[in-house]
Amino acid sequence: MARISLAETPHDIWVVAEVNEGSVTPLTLETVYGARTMADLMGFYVNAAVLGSGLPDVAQPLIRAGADRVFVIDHSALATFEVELWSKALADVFVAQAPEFVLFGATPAGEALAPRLAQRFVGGFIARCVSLRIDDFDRAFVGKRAVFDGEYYEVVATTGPTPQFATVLPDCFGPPYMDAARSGQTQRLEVDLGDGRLQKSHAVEFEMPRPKLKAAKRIVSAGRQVGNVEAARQLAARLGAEFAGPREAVDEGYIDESQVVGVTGARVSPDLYIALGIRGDSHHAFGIQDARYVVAVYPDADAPIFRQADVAIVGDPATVAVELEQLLSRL
Amino acid sequence: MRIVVCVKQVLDPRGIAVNRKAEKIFINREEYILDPACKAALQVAAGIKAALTASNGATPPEIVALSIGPARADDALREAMGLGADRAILLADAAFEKADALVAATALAAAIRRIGPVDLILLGTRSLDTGSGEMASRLAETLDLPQVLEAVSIEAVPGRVTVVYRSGKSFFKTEVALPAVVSVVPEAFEAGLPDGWRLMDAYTRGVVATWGAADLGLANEDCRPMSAKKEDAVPPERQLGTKVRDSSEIITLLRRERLI
Repeated sequence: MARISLAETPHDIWVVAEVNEGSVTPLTLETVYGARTMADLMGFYVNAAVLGSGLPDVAQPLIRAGADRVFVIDHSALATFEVELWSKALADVFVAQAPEFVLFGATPAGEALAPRLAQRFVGGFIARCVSLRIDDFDRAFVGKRAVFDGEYYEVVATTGPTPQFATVLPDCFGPPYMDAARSGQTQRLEVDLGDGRLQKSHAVEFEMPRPKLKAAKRIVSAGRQVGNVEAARQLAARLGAEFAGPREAVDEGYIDESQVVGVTGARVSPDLYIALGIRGDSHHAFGIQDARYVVAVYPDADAPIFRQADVAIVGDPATVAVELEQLLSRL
Repeated sequence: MRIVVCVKQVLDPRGIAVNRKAEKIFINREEYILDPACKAALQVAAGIKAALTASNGATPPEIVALSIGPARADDALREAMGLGADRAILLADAAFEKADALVAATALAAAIRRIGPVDLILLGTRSLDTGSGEMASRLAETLDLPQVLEAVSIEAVPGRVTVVYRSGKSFFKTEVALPAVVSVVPEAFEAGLPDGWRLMDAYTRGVVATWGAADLGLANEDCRPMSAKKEDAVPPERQLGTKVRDSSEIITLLRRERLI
């Protein structure tokens, strides 16, 4: 393994920031805030690296969330995210700046960059942390990550002295405290990316056929008690969600065979599952046990669906569906 | 043309039971399976082989299944041969016993160099166990190759591949010059069953080559892990949800969870 020599002994915590539509992403701010908490324990500085081309001034929110220094790497070849170029730019910066700990959000970009840099710097790496701290005795990351699709967790520790890396999922550190009184510096860094040529063509957006129920990220589901199935369909459309239901919804004519969730249909794993007028018997319960966040509306407070719900309203599903649709239209 | 498919043997999740209330993890049956994501990668490799063989009639591409792990990973590699790999190589060595992803990637990359000219390296995007999805990036970095993660469709012509891949909620299309590293999304490819005769052949006549650290030119220094598992932890017991009165509270909660 080729050892890379750093310009200095590793020190400080770095966060690689992501900018979307001109502003820093919420996950980046949360990560900077988490880095701040850890840095205060260790007596470190928090540095944020912002990459891109023709970047807007995003230093303020980063400093408020906890960054001491914001390093801006503005280069024409970094206009769109291409992991080969971005990792090269970051590697150049890290050789000169010698970070000890580097944090990324577990986004498509962060999850591609972090392992590349960990491999290059022969450093420890923990992917997709649900919680993370620095062990002040070992000077090492100690992170918790889900294994077997969240069946259980595993605690992993990295070791120094080379830079250590981690990607963090949302809610790893909690909502950031934005301190308007905090001050920090901004510095521009130059990187050499050669001619910025790639061995692949720049990516173009591609229109995919709509995902099937199993792959859907959002599902609105209507059961026998939905009252007004049109309202439920409109809510689904508003959310860009798939429309589905339990087996009995087929009998009601609300859905067809391909939209059934449950033992005899699809086992779904959306981020958001809205159950309208579904009692939630076990055959349906099985189908949604992997849903991340379940909203349930049902007129009877004793319905089993409420045992699976993260948020619940005991009430009329049709009314709630209409209200939700209207509230969402105003966002 | 040569395609290397990196495969991983994982614990069968059907043998695992987690009691969140008692905070205990039970491994009821310690059985190992070929990771489903790797099966998808093998499927893609077999598809490319079929397409290229049919189109130009030249020498069909060779598919090599490659894995790092203990001796039991032999099984996974034989299944890989049943699923279309022409030969299989297992990287096994006492020095790899504590290997983390860093060491595994270093060893796999060294093996790929030793195999000779390789045009395409295929992997599953995330393994079933750790699900960290880091191996493709690590290999691309070590071998200095372009990478595409989360491919949902791959078309190969000699010298390059056209890949549609997922990034967050969107899909993108790119054309990559070979050699390259591509990781595939298992859900996008209907995983087939191994061909019965091929599988029989793999077990009776098939040979899984075993390479050790010395064969790969790796010193002890190169096999030093930089991360280690400390313990297992059980997720908290599922709490009963919040009851709210009106729809606007739902919106507030959904926003807090970043679901809308």
